[in-house]
Amino acid sequence: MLPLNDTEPNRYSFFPIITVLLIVVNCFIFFSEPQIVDDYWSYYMKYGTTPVLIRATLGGGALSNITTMFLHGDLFHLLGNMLPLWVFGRRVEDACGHWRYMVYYLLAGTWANILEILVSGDSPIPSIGASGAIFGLMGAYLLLYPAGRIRTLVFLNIIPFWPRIRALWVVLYFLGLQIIPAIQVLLRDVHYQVSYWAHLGGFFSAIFILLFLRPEAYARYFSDVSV
Amino acid sequence: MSSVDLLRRGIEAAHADRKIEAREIFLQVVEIDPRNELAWMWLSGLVDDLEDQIIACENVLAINPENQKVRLFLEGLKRKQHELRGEDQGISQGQRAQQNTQQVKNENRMGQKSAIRDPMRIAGFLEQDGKLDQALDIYKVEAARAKDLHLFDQIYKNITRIEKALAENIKFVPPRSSVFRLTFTWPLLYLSLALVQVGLKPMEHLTSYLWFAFPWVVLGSFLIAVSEVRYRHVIWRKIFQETGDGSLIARIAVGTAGWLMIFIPLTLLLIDSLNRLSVFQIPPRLFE
Repeated sequence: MLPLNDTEPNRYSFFPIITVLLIVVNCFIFFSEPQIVDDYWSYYMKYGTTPVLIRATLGGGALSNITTMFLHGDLFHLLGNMLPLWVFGRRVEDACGHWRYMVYYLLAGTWANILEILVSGDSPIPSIGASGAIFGLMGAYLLLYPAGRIRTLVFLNIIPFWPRIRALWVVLYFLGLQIIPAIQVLLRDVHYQVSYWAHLGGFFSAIFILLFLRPEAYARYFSDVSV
Repeated sequence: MSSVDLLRRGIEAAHADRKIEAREIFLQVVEIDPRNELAWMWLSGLVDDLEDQIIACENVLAINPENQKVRLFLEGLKRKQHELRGEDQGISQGQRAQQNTQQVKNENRMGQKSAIRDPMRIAGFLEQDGKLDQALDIYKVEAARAKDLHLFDQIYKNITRIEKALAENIKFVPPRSSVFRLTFTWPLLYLSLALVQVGLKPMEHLTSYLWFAFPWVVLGSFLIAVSEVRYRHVIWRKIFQETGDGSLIARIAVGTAGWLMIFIPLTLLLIDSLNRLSVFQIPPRLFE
């Protein structure tokens, strides 16, 4: 299942400038890395989130916590994050306003990293990617537009379909994929290449989304009409 | 300064024949306390426009219907108004609209406060107070009076916006609570970043500048919220001596101050991170 587009229009703003800017910056960094990076391992250690280093107050700390949101391991990692960023970010930005959306995005990414550090505090493996922040956007989208429809690419065997699926089911599907591995990490000390707890941390940062809404959107949220 | 002190200052100014100053002070009083009978009484004698005088008198009578002195004064004003209108032969469409505006003004006498002269501002204030029906009436009258297309479009946008809100039964959220809510945004991010910076051990770094900077971020975020949400905040009156919901210049000034107050702590945080990063080397025993 791959979300392709949010089919509903914007209500308050014309163009999702921050979402587009985030996508451009992420892509720019990814494609310029081969020219500037020699040793990827130390690059990720320096600019990614390494739980053991953060806890020992070594390395970039808060800065690395931000830069890690703009690093991706390969093209699929990048596309897998940028597509949902576009799908879920556009209308969240519309509801929040540009600057507050930016702050929320960084907050979600930071909370994702904080939960990852709390769960695997002694891990020397750096984690990178925007997925924690994007799960924050998915959580926010779920709260704000549960009845929204997402154009989603689905394969039945090898036959592709692209139905409009309710946002509730799309987000719950991706959330569901995180739960079991996250429990395994916590209880059985299993190691994955994916930071499942970071995803959950980002997702649960959506509890703050109401603080970031523009006043009109906030009034609509509590009036039981579409935000 | 309390409304009583302002009232005293206003009376002093009026006695000293400083008419404009007195009027501004009484307008501040009725903004703080819209049911201040004495302030409206003074205003009825200080405003220049006949219609504004009538509104002020009617406000007095709405507060105290027993005030015979003002009732008589009002009757005189209305006679004068009638005579002036009688001078014109036939009533044009524009004049009818003006009369409607007057009627709406009278109906909304408590909402108009200091913006007696500008119906658009009155409507804006009524919107901020959640009185959408009354604001809509004023916009409709003003749309009928609009002389150029640009102004009409602007008013028409307001009309459709309010009509939609009324049709969808959108709940009223007081602007004050919006400012309170939006104030949390930047401090939340700063707090989270500061937590990461100190390795999630805030108690070990209590003396760090990071925590001293936190109140600055709160204040900066508050100022940004005040500059964004339109309402008659005390800041506009106390600092900028403005009676309304903040002029564009005042808003830009407050917003810029807010951004600066946030920018400085975040820059300090960034410098601290960069310093740490510049001396960073992967610990050799990390993977043993």
